[in-house]
Amino acid sequence: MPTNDLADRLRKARESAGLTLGEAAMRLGFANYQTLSNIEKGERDVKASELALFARTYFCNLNTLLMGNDQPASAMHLLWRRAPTGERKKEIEAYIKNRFEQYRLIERLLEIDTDIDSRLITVKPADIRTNIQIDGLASKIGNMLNLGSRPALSLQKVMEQILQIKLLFVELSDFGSAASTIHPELGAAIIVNNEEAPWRINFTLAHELFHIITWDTLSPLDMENDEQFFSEIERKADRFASALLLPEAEIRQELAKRVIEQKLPYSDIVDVAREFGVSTSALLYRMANLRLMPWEKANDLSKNDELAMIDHRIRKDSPNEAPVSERFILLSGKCLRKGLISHGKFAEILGIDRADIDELLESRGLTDMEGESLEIMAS
Amino acid sequence: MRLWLLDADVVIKFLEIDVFDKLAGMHELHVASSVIDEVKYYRRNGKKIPVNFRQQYIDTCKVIESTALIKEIQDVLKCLPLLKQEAIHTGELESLAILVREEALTLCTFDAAAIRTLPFLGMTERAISAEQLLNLSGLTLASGHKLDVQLSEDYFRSNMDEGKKAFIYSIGKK
Repeated sequence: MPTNDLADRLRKARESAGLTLGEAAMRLGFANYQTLSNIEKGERDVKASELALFARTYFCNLNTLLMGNDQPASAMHLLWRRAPTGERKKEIEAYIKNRFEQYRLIERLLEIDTDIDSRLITVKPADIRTNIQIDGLASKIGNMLNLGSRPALSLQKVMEQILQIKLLFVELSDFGSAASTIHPELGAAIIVNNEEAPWRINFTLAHELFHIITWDTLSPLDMENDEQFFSEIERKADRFASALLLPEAEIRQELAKRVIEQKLPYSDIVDVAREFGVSTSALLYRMANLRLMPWEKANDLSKNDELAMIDHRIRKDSPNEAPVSERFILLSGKCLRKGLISHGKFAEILGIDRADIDELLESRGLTDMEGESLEIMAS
Repeated sequence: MRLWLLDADVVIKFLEIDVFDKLAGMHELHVASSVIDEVKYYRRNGKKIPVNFRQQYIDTCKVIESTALIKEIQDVLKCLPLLKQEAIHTGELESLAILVREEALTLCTFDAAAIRTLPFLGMTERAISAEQLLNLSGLTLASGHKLDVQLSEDYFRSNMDEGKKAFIYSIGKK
C-alpha cells in the first residue's frame, strides 16, 4: 500500500539525515516523538501540507518521498578538508547532497551535461611530485582558463561557467571546512563555507580545484585512510592554489613597484594581497615560496599584530554579503523564465519566500519573461 | 456560481494589488492546505506586509481550505513526465490534485510550469488566467496601474499551448 511505502521512505530519509526520532519530531514541530513514530509505522496518515516540511527537514526531494524515485543511484563521496564528525556529518552531507541534486535538476531541465573530464587536463602522479611541477601545473591551468594577471577576479566565474563545477555555499560554522567531489551522475562540486571572507574563498576554490583536477589520480579514499598521505596532498593543493592565484611574474612586478631600498611597508603588502584577492598570509607564504623572504619570517609576519591590524583596517570596507553561486541563480532563473520549474520550486531551491521572488529577480537583473524571439540568419 | 481554486502566487498577487478581499466577498474561493502555509506575507509599495492567512481567511470562513490525499497527489505525479514531477512544488501539486478530484472547481494560476502540466492531466478547460478572473468579477485596476504580463490571458494561453505541445510530444515518445 502506498502509504506504508511512504512511511518507510520517511523513516529512511530521517535516518539518512542522521536524525533521531526525537530530534526529527522536534524540528517538524510535533508535540512528541510518538506522532512521528506512528507516521513511520504507517499508523497515522501524512497530510499533503506536511510533506514539504518533511522534505525540507530531511533534506530530500518531495518526489523521492512520494514516488520513491531515489536518485542518483551512486553514493556521493565528499573529500573534506576538515570533516565534520558523528551524526552531524550525516546531516551536513544529506543537506549538501540535496543541494547538489537540486542544482543537477536545474541542469537537467536545461539539458546541460556534466562531463567534467572533457573540460580538464589529465594529471598523472608523476606530474605533481615536486613544487616546480605543481607551479607548472598551476601556470598551465591559469593559461588554459585565461585567468589573466589577477586570477582571483575571474576564478569563480570560470570554474562555474567554463568548467561547470557546481559551487555550493553552505553554512558550515565550526562543523567542517571545504570539500569537493566528483559524482558520476551529478558532476563536480565544491562545497565552501559561506561564512569565510571573500579572499579566503578564492584560496579555497583554487585549493579544491586541485582536488577536482587530480580526483582520478589521487584516490580520495586513500587520502582519508592515510593521514600522512592526506597532509602531503593538502600541502600540494595549497601550493597549487598559491601559484594559481599569485602568478610569479605578476607578483614580482607588483612588489618591485612598491619596494624602496629593499623595504616594503606592511600596508603595501596588504594592498597587494587585496589586489590579488588573497589573504595577507597567503601572499606572505607565496613570497617565501618565491624566495623573497625566509619561511620563518613569513610565519612570524602572519602572526604579527601590527600587520593584522593594518590588514583589518584596509579590508574593513570589503563586501560582507553571503557568497552565492551566480551560475545556479542564473540557471534557476532561466528555468523559471522558460516555465520549466514552478514558482514554489524556484523559491524552495533558492531558499527564499515566494513573496520575494520578484525582488530577487530584480536584484539579480533577471526576468521571468522570455520576450520576443530574434531570427538568426544561417551562416 | 463558479468555484475558484487559487494557487499561492495568485493569492499573494491579489493581496498585493488589493483585490483579494473583494474577490472573497464575491466568490466561493478555495485554497489547498499547503498553499495556506506558503502565504506568509505580500508586498505593497515596497513594504512587507505579514499575513496570517489561516486566521484571517480560513478561520473566518472567507476562504475554504481544501486538502488532497497523498494518493491523489501521487496519481497526479504519475501523469507527468519524470522531470516535470521534480519541477513542481507541494502547493502547486496539492492544488492540481484537488482540481482533479473536485469537478466544480476552476483553477486560477499564472505559474507557467503549473499551467503546462494541465494538458497532462486532461484539465485544459479547468483553469483560467488571473486577468480573466478579474474581468469576470468586474474588477479593474485603478488608472495608471498596469496588470503584470504574467497575469494576462495571453501569457496563460501561450503557456497552455506550450503544455499541449509537450503533452503531444510525450505521447510520441511513449
